[in-house]
Amino acid sequence: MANDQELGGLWCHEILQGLSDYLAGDLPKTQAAQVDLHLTQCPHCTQFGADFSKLLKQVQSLSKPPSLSPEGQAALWQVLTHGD
Amino acid sequence: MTLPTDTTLLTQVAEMGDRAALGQLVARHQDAVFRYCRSLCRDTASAEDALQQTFLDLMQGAGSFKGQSSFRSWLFTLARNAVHRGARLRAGEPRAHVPLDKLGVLAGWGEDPEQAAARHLDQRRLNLALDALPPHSQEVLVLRDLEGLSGPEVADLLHITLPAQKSRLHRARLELAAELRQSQSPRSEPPRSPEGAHHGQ
Repeated sequence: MANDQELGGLWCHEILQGLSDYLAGDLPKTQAAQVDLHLTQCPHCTQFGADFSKLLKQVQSLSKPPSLSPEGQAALWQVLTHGD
Repeated sequence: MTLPTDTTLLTQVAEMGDRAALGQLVARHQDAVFRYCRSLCRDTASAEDALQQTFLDLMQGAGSFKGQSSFRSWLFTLARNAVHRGARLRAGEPRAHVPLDKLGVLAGWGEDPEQAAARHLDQRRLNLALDALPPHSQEVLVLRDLEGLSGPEVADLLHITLPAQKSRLHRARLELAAELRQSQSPRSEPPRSPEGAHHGQ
């Protein structure tokens, strides 16, 4: 990270390491406040944090990938009921 | 009308061999189990085999479910065991370990905001990117972000600690972002396939 800098008591690489926990609200309050402070001063982390958050929401909200084919469903049910 | 819970249906399967109850459980969960098996297996046929084995194990082991974990967590454990027993695991490409800060840059840290904004995520691109991830990364992403299992459930399923699960998930998310960024650059437009990604088969 060429522009890694310490702002608000945290380095950019530390923001990166804890980003999922921060977005999930899993960081302790004091640490979360430090991240907030860093974000107010660091355009790179602010931008990346927003993009990363957006990506996670998209991944979680996209319809699930197409799944079991009708043939697969029929084969499953045949296996489960075979011999009855 | 309230639908019966999974555990109620499972009890009916265990105590009465209730085929209708089994059918409801299959209908509710076959796609999620298939997706999970597909993330671990090398091909769709192997995933279907593992899926069948999972529900056979469910039928035979229905009485052994004690409610110590959630039904879904138990079911995914059956699926994981079925995949491993069948030695159907996909090998995955060996990869050099990329330090997290470098992975962050590959995922777009420090990137021009306009470039980031120009990217578009759709189902096909997500499937392709997911398939390109190492198996461990794909597995944790599928379980947490697609199927919605909790962190403790996934840690238990994977036999790892909760901090290790969090670390694996975060790295997997960064790998996914890096993969999407790479695949969506103009020079590396992925080839169109009539079938889409493996997940879509």
